Amino acid sequence: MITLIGVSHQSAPVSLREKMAYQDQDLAAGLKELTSRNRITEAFILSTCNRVEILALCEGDRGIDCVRSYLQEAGRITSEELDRYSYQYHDADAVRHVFRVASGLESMVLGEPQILGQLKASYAAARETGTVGSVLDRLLRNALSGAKKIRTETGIARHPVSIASAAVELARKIFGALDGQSALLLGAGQMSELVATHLRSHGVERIIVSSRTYTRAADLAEKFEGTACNWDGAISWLESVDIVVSGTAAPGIILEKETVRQAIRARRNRPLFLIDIAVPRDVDPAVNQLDNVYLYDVDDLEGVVEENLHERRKSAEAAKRYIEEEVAVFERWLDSLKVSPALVDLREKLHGVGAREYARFRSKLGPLTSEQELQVHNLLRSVVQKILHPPIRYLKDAAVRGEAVDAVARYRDIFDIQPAGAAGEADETDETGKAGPTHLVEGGKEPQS
Amino acid sequence: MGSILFSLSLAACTVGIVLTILTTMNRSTAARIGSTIALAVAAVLQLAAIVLHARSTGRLPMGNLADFLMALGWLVLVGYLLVNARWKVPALGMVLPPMAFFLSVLGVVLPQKHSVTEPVMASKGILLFHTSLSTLGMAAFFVAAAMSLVCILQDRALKRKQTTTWLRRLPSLHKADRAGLEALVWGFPLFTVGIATGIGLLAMDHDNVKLAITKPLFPLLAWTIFAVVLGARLARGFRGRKAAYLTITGFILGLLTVIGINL
Repeated sequence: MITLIGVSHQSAPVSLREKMAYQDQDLAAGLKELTSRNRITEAFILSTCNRVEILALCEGDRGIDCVRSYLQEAGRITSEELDRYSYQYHDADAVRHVFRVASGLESMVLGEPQILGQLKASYAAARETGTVGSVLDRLLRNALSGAKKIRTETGIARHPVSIASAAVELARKIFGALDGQSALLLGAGQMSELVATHLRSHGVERIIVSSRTYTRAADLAEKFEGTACNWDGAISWLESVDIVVSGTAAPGIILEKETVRQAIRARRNRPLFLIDIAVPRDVDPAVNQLDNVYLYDVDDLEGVVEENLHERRKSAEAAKRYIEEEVAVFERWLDSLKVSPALVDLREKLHGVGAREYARFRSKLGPLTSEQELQVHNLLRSVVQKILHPPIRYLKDAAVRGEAVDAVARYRDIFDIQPAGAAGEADETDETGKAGPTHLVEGGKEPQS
Repeated sequence: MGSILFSLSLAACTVGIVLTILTTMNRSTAARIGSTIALAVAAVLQLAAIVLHARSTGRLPMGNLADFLMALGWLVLVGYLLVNARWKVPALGMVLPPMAFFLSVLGVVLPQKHSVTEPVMASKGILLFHTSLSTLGMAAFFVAAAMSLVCILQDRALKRKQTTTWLRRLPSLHKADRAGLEALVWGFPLFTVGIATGIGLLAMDHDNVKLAITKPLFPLLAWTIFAVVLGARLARGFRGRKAAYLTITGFILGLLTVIGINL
């Protein structure tokens, strides 16, 4: 059974999450500890600032209890705390949850991309430790590739949902690529710094900082390898910069329409993007009426963010549909695993019959050369394979249709195959009572002695 | 054969338009590549159809309105492929290929009437030169006008703080502006030489003095607008909404002139 137990920003306070969180260096030990417990065959741990989750392949309810007890011990939390703040998913629900987490549908900021990197790192750690086997490995690989596809096709992470990134998006609508552009910061507050950081990371080459306190401007300019300038000289930069971020604590307007009009004339109508993040506003709203000038204040930017969030929610609906398809595919694959032991048993049974019949008739065949003996082996093996083909096909198709359990039971009845561990002793000897080989020689080759 | 090629070209163009719409909606790479291939195939087939048509009728291509529209449709399609390759503006695919399709269909539907000017022209070679350059110039202005429209829409969206899904697909103001300017720079000399040869041809037609005086008026008006826009853009950095509106006006005047001449 695939089981997922975890806590997240939606279910648990940070005080509990931080107790349960893993440092990178502790992850391997935690994974080993988990898989060393009875009834847990595969394990994976995802630990981020927003969630701690354990994904395990375990045997029945007792396996789930093992995961729970591990979580209590490792996180030093009580059973009541675990009951109250954690969530549990099993099988299809657990698979669905893994896909949702990977796609950012469970993230604090819908569709945020960091979770994909965190999931990749955790998957790499689990692989390195050797705690993911065929089931969890396939699930995690599918979740990672599915999440990438969701991001590409639904655009869930395409629209920025922070003020600073929205400002960058708008700047790109005006200037295209921001490489080689320059920005003027009026005021050296935290918000201006944040916007400037985003602009810089998107290619803005030069940042000029101006503040009423020159030392603050100089400090911030140094951070961006930019230029600090006196407050009185800031306006002259309007003629050459492309973006202005204004976030001063001034009580009134500091950039009048006429000032900007003159600047636009001097810059020969090159577009100017003004981001006014100050409250009260620094830039006269009438500036937006000027040709080739684009002014956005805090409310405008929040409007953009809200619109982008709306777009992400729409994309999330498409992502959910895609995830349901992926969950169904994974479930079918899981079902197909249920027929694997029956297929092995069936092959062994029929090849065993062939081998025993060969042994029974061997003495009646007279002396055979090694080449002739090999050909007889090949003949028998080929006949068995031909007989096996339709039932194997049927079992595999039944697994795809979700009828694996019934089909396996039917085949065990028809071919009198006992499940592993309960194999009948009757097959140990043939009808003559003589012990004989139980398998045809693989590929008709002579066994190595 | 020509009509079969033309039908195939329209079919390829339709496929290209559908894929372009899909590209704009889903940003699918496969659809983008498919649309480019389909539109390129459409352009090649249409060129072959135009050449075959000219050979079968024994008449110069672009000799009447129907031929002109078909040639313009082809040039707009080629213009879109070139602009998209150079500036990566798939959103323009929502406008230019459908317009090319429409113009080409009009070229087939309209009656194949001969231009009143053709029989009296002194030289068919000069006429071909004149119509070719004028049509190429108009195709470039078509692209410039489409880019100006994009500029107006993007400017309006930015000014009004609109962020609808369709507006997001538009290219940046800078990109649309640069592509429009480049189309103007290419189109203007072609159009200028086209007009000059047209006036020369009319002057050679001594029997039609009235036509020689009145006919170039509208093309000259369109040329003046383009000259002002281009001059102001290059010399004074004139750009934005006003430049875009003027470019579109010049294009409409030019188009009306060509249609008027060939009616």
